[in-house]
Amino acid sequence: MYSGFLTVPPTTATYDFLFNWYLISGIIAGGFVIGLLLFFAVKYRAREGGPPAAKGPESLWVVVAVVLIMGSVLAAAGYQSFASATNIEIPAASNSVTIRVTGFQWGWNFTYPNGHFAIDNLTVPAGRDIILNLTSRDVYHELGIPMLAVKEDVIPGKVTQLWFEVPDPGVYEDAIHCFQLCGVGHAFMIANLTVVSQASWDAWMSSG
Amino acid sequence: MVTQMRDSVLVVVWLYTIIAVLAEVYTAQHVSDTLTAASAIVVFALSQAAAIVAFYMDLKDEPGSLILMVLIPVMFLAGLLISVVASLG
Amino acid sequence: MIRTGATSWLQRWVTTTNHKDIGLLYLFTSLYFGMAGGALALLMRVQLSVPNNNFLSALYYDQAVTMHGLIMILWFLSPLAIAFFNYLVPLQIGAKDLAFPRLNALSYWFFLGGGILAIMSFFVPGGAAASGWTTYQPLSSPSFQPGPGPTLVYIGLLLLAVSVTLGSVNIITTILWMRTRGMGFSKLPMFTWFALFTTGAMLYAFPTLIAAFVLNVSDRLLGTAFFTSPAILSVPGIDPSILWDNLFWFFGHPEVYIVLLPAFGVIANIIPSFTGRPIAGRNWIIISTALVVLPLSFGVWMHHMFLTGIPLSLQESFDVSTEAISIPFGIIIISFILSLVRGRIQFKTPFLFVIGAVVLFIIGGIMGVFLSSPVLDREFNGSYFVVSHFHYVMVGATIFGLIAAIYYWLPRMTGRMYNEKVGKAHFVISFIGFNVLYGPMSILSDMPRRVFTYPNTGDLGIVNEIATVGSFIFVFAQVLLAYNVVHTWFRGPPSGPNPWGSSGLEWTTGGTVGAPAFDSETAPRGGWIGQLSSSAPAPTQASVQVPSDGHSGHTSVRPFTLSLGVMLFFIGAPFYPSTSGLAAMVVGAAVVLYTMFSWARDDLREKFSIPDEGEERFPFSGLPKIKLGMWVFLSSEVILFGSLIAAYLFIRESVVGWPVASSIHDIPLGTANTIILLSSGFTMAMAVISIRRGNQRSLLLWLSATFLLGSVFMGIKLSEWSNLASAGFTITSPNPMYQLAASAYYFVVGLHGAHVTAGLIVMVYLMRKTLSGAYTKDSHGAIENFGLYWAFVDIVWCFIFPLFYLL
Repeated sequence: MYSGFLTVPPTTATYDFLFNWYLISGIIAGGFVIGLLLFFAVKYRAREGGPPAAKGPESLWVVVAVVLIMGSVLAAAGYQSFASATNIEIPAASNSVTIRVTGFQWGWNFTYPNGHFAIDNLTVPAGRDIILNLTSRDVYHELGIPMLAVKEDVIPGKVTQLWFEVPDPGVYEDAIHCFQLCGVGHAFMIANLTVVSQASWDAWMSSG
Repeated sequence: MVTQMRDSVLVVVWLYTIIAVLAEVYTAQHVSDTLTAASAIVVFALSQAAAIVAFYMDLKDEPGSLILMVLIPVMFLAGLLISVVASLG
Repeated sequence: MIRTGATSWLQRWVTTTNHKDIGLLYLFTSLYFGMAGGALALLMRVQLSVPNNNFLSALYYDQAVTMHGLIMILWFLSPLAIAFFNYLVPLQIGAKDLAFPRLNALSYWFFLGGGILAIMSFFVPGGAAASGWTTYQPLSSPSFQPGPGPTLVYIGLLLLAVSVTLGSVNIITTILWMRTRGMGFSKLPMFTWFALFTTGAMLYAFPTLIAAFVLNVSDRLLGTAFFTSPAILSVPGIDPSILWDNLFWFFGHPEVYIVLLPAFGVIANIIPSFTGRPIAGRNWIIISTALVVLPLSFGVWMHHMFLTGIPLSLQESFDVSTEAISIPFGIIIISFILSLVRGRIQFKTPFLFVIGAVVLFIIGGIMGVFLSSPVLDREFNGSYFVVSHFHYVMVGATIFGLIAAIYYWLPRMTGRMYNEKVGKAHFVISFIGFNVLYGPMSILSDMPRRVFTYPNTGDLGIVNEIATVGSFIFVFAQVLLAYNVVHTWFRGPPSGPNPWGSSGLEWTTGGTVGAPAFDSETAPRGGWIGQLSSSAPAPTQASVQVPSDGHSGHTSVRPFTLSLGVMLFFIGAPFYPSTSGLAAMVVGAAVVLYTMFSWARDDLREKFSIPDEGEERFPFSGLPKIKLGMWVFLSSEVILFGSLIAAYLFIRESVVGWPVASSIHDIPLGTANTIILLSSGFTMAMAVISIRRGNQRSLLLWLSATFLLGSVFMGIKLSEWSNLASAGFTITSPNPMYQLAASAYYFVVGLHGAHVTAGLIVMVYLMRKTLSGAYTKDSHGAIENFGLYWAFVDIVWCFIFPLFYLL
């Protein structure tokens, strides 16, 4: 995960925690099963003078154990995933900033509360919830900010939403990409993310 | 066993399907609440389908496994319809 | 008439309906498509090997990535499995052929014809489809992707979907109805079980694909507005993109299990040959696949739509269902692993590929669990993490499993043994190349999919370069497979009749080993396999009686010409109204009509004889074969029409301002027409009753009444349409609401009308046959089956009428 933040943004932190949870569970489970497979494959290989194959199928109480263990791990994973749904639910904070985003072939139009707009440059204040209202002017796009672990489809005729918050100011070039094939310019729908201090934001918002 | 079907049963089914159509038209024109009207009409349509499947297609006389095989896509379809409408929410 | 030389070779392959021949046709054709898809992949990997590359332009790259996906999934992976279904299922169950041999040939020729259309698209102006294999809307509509190329691809895809639907009806009927005596379900081999599971899923998943692409092609060829309506941007709430998502993924998710399950069937079937003991948990595997994987596979599709703005609760329910589906897979994998315990394992090539498939499935499957979380999906969606995941399961598990099948059953198909050293080398190099290619790319969650190039940031450059190296290693390893197959086929050492010591029936039955050198008409009956079956008992199949010779010799050129005509017609369609387009359509239509007429005439003269059927039919005993096939087919049509109606409801419910039905349609006329059609259902039922009583005159009378009523229905329909058109209710209406409503109305009602018309044409044929006394009390299957079809057409109208005219 991107490590250039001074303070880790909330969506990134939630994602990191969940990802590590799944990763460790996955490595343990996968490692165990693959290890078991390779162990049996080697242990029961045909050898000169080795024992013949046993008759009849293996007893299957093991399967019951598998179902119970898998079920528990998956249930726990699901629970963690549900608990992390804060990354998806748009917060109701009253000091949030809402920015309209229109995806088009092939760029991003960010329209700010004061009516100004910028192409391929998203500027937001630090420390406040940013809500993006997304729609498309033409075809299906998908706006994603990998370093913040947020992403949402951008659909013509519909408005979707995502939110994030970056605690500290900074400039992040090429932080925003399009993740849904949208024509020949798909690879070039890249935007920068600039996080400014509250003061700079206020100044910019009140300027004409 | 199937050949025991009397003609009169088929005539009754035929008349029922016609009555159901007329009932649908009446409902559409005289029931003002669209949700009630739509539900009633869907019920009528399903009843027509059930009658035709059971009697014209003899499904009621066929083995249970065939009936199951026919019900499976109906259930999948119900799932598709429910989720499609829910995704509009 | 026996011809010699090249013409007889051509004649054999063009007219064959024999399951082994068709299996071989599918095998080699699908491998060809695999090479084509692989070539596209190498082009893509070269372009992506370094940042900011310009080896391929964006347009060419987009075409390559789209066609790579479509060709590999639809023309390579599933057809390769179907090749084995064709070859092995009849042998494994002791049947002489599939239930409907000519339909089987038709499936193959449609598969090939559709593939030709798809590949042709590269060479027409504008090039091939370029919107991804997922064909999202509205990018794939004529507004954003005009041109004949994509239309050819999507029509080719429809032909393939029809091929698959017919094939699944065929295989399901075969397995349910044509097992030899003693072959109850408890004795059914694992590969055949999985063939049943796969074709069952195909039966219910592909109709939705057909519905989606028919709407798409309708927009492109007929000018309807399902995905292109100007109302999309001007009227809030219209969601054609979401409509596409739902239809496509309702098909798309079961599709990935359709692709995977045959490989699991192979693995379950062949493990015992290499461990010397039966598979562990056989019943668990069967039960968990039938009762959990299959139903749930239709209940997880919205995990492809987490980011589309659906309610969180819906996302979370699909999170749960997606996680739940990994549990039966866990049971299956553990069963495979436990099958090794206390065995005596021989590490031959097929077994190496089995181990490889299982390992790669475990890795890919765990990656899939990551993707089941809506929160994690916000990071991974549309990135190379997903690309890595699905290649692990689709290439790693599926291809390694199917390659194991090739090695394992090559001796059955050729009587010769492949080269073990080359096979082992093939495995090692493939496994290494595969993991170099797809392993590192799993960390690229910040690289979007389907980008033709990328900036030089972070790990992107080095990982892509490694992946490209891996891709070349992996692809060139397949040269070893090609060499092994070809060399073995012509020069391999004899393998003996049962080199693996398997108890499967496919090793001890089914006539000659089907090398192409044998002429199916004159091949020695039984061959050395047949001679063996009389002397060698099959130890665990003692209660199963083996038929003496299974090699059937029935041929027909009609499937080939029908497919040729259809293909010609659709080659011309995207170019209409240019002269060449029109010419192709006319020639194609003429060929189709001639073929259908000839097919009917063949039947009248009983030129095509179908071999004897099997005896184990529980729980479908008492049901004639064709009737069972018709029911199987109709159950898939339920999904087809149901998907179209679901699409209609979706469009209507997402829109405010839909025109009121009574303001457009003549309700009394529509009601009267409905009564007429329902009455024709009654007369058809009476026709069936008449012939069950043996009354041919009554049959003719009631059939004629049905024909009359059906014709009146169509006549009134056409006059309705002409009135609507002159009132301005057309798909070219300037009012976007009318345009959308008209698109839906004409399309659905038109499709139904086409079904009615087809029925009327068949009725003419049936009346002709009745006049010649062909139907009797004990033999009137065609009437029964047509009765089913006609009743189904009525049922569909019972839903269309209220939805379009009343509500």
